[in-house]
Amino acid sequence: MHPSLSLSRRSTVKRFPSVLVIVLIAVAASAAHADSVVLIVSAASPIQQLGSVELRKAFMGFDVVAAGMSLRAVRNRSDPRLDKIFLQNIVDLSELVYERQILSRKVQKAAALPTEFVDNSQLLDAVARNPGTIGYAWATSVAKRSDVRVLRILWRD
Amino acid sequence: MGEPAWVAWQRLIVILLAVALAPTRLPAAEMDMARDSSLLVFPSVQGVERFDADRSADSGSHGEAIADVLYTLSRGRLRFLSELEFSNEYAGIDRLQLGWEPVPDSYIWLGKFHEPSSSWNFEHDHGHYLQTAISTPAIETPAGDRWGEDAGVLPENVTGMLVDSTDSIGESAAVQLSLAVGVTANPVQTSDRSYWITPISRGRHRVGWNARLGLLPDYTRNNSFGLVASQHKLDTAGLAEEGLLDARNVAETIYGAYVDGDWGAWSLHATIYHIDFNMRASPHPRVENMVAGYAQLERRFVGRYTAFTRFENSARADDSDFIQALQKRFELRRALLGIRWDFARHQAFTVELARAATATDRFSKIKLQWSAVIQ
Repeated sequence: MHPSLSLSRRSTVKRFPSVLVIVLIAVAASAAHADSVVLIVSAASPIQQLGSVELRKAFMGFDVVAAGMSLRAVRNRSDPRLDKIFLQNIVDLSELVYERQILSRKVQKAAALPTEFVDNSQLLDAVARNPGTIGYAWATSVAKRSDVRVLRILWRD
Repeated sequence: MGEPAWVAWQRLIVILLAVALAPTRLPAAEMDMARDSSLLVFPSVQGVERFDADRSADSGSHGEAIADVLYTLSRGRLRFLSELEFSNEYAGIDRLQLGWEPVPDSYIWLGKFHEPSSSWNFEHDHGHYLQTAISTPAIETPAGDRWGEDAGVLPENVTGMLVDSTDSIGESAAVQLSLAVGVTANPVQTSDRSYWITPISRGRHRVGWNARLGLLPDYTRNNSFGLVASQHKLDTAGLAEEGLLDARNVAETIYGAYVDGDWGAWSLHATIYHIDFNMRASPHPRVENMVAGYAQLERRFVGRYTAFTRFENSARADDSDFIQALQKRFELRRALLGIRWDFARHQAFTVELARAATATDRFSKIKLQWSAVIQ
């Protein structure tokens, strides 16, 4: 056998496990991203459902009453991808326009704006503590919490 | 020229009020369902260079740092809103309102508020960061704004009562009705070279009215179009005593239409006014009128950039004795274009180029501005 051919075959055999590892990591990463965004309330909340218009109003700083409770929305800024999904699927506005519109509403009507959280655990704690609070998060992060209830799926990968 | 003592006092009072309000703000992570308070600061720094053949002392370079401090408090159905504005040149209380919301999205406000019939001021005059262009349309420019702008002719604020109600039609549309009664300030002389309207002015104040009817195709968005109207009786005895106007009273009646909103990557703010100046208590009682309008078109691209252009025109304003007495440098026509770069969250840098004409002069302006909001 030609020495160079033998060397080439050996290197192909050696390379195979590393390619496999890369493929497995890619599949795992893809599976990790195949998550859903869910609308959440406290487990103690009497709210059973919330329509898209009401949901949008709550995140635009309007007064929304559901199940006899005045709602307070919380914005999840713990993950840029989650924030992008929020802007596209819940408020349907670009970030610039959304922030200008809610600030305008604040300065015109003294409206309460959605409280922002950059830490997902703190957001889940705030939702769990306040029955009138609505928020959104990745489904996988909510699955571990018994004090938070999923109202519905807002977005699926 | 040193600043008058009252300007220094005004600025001190406004700064002390802002400092006093700061600790009352609730931290973001603390959530109180029945109570909400916020302190927003809108700082901006801007510079202007004016180019024209006849450079008077008023033209040339100018720079200014401005801060709009806005405090809001809501407790149950009660609302409190105050807007303080101060700069290195002036200070004042722009708004001071106490409100009650008997039903969702219907308010009764008492205090000092923006005039509902002034389309731009009612919607956009809340800190430079919330306004895409640096300049305000000439007809809407508060007469007290000395920021390189010539004074406008519409009163900016009303002190009195405002009923502001939004009622939904169907699932997403709504109609908004704003009705106000109150007094506005009179034009008074404040220096040798300019006139502007002070918040509390001398002379007699008579109650006027203001109305705005808007249709909102989508309730949750800011898009609206509609009609505005108002009437205020101004005491112009000060101008008459200076020999600038032959009338001691002017009844200013405004009718107009507007469209305002965001559609995808585009935004449009356009208004047209018909304004009557009924000159009373004069040897020659008469009615002067003018038609003024503007349209500002904006286009957002690559997420953080906004290009904008605006055209303004005021017909018959150069024939009006009242406008000439109030502001000789009123800009009859202006065309501008600019670009805004939101380079960071809640911070923007804007460049604006304008070509304008007054009754006697034509000139160009370039403006640069950094603006932000701190929450």
